[in-house]
Amino acid sequence: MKCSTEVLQTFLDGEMEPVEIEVVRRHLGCCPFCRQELSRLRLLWLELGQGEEIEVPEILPFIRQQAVTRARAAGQEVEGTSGVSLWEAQKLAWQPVLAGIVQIPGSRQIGRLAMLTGRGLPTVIRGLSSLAGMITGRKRGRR
Amino acid sequence: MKTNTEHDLIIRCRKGDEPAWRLLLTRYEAYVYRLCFRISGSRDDALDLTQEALVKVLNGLVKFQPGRPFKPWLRQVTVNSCLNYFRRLAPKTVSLEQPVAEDIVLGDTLDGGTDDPAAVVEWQDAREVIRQAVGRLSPQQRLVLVMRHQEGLSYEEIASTTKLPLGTVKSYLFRARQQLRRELAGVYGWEG
Repeated sequence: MKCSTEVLQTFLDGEMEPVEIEVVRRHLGCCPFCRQELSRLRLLWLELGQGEEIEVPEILPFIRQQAVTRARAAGQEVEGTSGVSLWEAQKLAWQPVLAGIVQIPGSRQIGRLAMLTGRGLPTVIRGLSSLAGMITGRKRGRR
Repeated sequence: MKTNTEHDLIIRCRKGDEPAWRLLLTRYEAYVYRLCFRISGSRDDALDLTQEALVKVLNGLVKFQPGRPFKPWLRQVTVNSCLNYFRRLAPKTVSLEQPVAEDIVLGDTLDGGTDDPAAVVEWQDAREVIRQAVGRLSPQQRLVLVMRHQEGLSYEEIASTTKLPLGTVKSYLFRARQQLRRELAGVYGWEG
């Protein structure tokens, strides 16, 4: 085995097969350079393993609260996109009718539009006008 | 009656029980913060990363299988948050891992210090020197170093947690420790 600091690192990490460990042990037995290097690396391992004491900041409960608020908002967003609510469905269903009502410019213009479009007049408008006729007819009847 | 064993707590959390969310976070937020601090090396970044990770934990609990150990999953989510953060930062910084020639990276070209014998040798606490040197490592090197020496993960486990190739994990780890060993050599006056 050649002198190698990478091999010594792997040896210290305990990431070697038993056969490889035996090879390194035998090399260490006859190589003072690697023995010295191993003891230096052990010191480094010791320092790295100690780890500094990290103080937890007082602001952490605030961070927790913010995380909860954000998670809740994200959850609601997912719910909102996963299905269409009843109100949204109603709005969608009535959209053509609402659009038709907006387009009604006045009786004279409806007549002109009817002449121009003939049978092509949107059924929505026709339905609405017949509905309006029924209502006004009933009111007149009551009178 | 509500029980607060980890398993029950996670079940409650998965149902969107907010008091359970708070209890779970109270248990683990310090661990997440310390991990983020060790990886990022900065208090402010660690706080941002902690919040990011905690949100991902709460929203990701539906994907977590309650019977499995929670901490490795939590670590995975935290590391993912850190990796995303590094990716966002990447264009702003030049990594010392950037290759400048075959088998030579930018970090290798930097001057390790003065060779002037007249320079006054000051006594330095080895731990403090290591701490500062770890802070100068690239985020990826710091990440694998923390996973190995603080979290006690094997090379394979680090590769799986960080989604880095096994060879890259080893390379980051060896290079980082070589750099730290050089720093220690300066403290103890080692030659070679």
